[in-house]
Amino acid sequence: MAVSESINVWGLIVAATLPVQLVMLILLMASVVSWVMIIQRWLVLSAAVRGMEGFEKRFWSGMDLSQLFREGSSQQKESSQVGGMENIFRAGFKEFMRLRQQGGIESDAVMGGAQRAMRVAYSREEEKLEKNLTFLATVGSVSPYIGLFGTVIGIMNSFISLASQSQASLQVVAPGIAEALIATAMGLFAAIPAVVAYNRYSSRVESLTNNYMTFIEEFASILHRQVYSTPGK
Amino acid sequence: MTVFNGYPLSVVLAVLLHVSVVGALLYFQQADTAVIDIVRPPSVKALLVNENPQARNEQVQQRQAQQERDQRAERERQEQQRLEAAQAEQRREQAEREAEEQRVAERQQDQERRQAEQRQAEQQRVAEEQRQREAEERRQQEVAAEQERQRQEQAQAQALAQQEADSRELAETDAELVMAYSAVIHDLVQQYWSRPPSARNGMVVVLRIRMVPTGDILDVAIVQSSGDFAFDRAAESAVLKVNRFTELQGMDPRLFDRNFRTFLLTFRPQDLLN
Repeated sequence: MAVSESINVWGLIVAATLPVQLVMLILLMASVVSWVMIIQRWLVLSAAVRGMEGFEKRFWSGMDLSQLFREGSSQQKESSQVGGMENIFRAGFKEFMRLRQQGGIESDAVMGGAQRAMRVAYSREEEKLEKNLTFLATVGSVSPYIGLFGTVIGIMNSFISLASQSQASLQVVAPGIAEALIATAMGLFAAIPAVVAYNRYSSRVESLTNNYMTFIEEFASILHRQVYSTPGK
Repeated sequence: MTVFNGYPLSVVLAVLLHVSVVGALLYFQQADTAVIDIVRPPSVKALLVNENPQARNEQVQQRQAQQERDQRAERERQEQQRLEAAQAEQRREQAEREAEEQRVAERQQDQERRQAEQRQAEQQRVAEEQRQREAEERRQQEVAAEQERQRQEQAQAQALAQQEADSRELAETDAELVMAYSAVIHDLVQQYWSRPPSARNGMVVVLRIRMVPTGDILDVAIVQSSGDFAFDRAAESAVLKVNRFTELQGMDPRLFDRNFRTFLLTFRPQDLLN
């Protein structure tokens, strides 16, 4: 179908010089990996949101907290691990119960221990959510430059080969420049989704962590009430 | 609920996405080129139909005349050789016949005065024989000389043929060079040629251009007008705008004289839609 004199993208890529091809390969890999990250992050974040919503519903349903803890333990035992907000709850509650059962510990210390445990769990959760987002940011900011680099090298090559021609015509320059511009196009192709995904996911992560923070405070106030309402147990 | 670790699924989806994007790109690219093939963008082409046909004709005629002359000379020479050979043969036969007659006469004389003139006859015969021998020698020398001359002529003819073949080969590479140079001229003029809106498909204008070996154009004359003044002017001004074919400066002066000192350029708008 394609006539030999017509230019197609695949032919240009195959005919490109080695540095340009290398740049294209790097960009292709960056694009593939960033898409892997995008999809994986999407799955993780939506799972976290779903988990958070489900847990909050159960938490505020008036269920007994130790009952909730036991449910979580059995769930952890039979299937996968629990995540997100429930992890924070479990860490805080476990520490709280342990400290209270030891006895002879002051209420302030119990509260402090529980809060510390929740803060540790929170930072762990936050780390899990933010994992790989920096990679997306890097791809988004760097791959246009890589593409530009490939383009500059390609245009340089095409001008060098033009210098050896006695008569310059558009037909001599055009394929080289088209080939070089493919690199920029690929850079943008990799960068745009990465930037969009990074912005979207970082805002989602932020809202999730805000929710976690709020939950920690709420749970702490509940524990606080429990500590001070039944003193000396 | 759970920390979803969906890496395999993500990898599969990402690779699938890229493959589909690249595939779509290639597919549409091919479709595009197919469409482009059908509707080709109109471009202007100036055709260099002929450069200096007179000179070329003269050249051909000269070569033919030269060949004819050579052939005629060859024929004449062969004729002459044959004539000479026949004359030599006749001379020899005559000499022999004369000798025979003389011998017969001598024998008669001998019979008449056998004893008295025997010595004289003897002497005469000896002299006659000597003369015959001399004639024979002379004849041999002549033949040898003739052979020598023939050999020389043959060598000369061979050399001539060699020279001719060489010049023909040269002419072939010359033709290539001329083609290359005319392509250069063609491109340059085409760059400067802006076609007037009144141009139509059938129009042809032929210009005669005179140049000096530096590539400078001496003058441009319209040999054959298209009938449209603007079109003629556009073609003429295209050549004048080039002003100087610097590419022709390095050219072999012999080639230049033969092909480009004056040459004809034909302009025709080739692929107009109207």
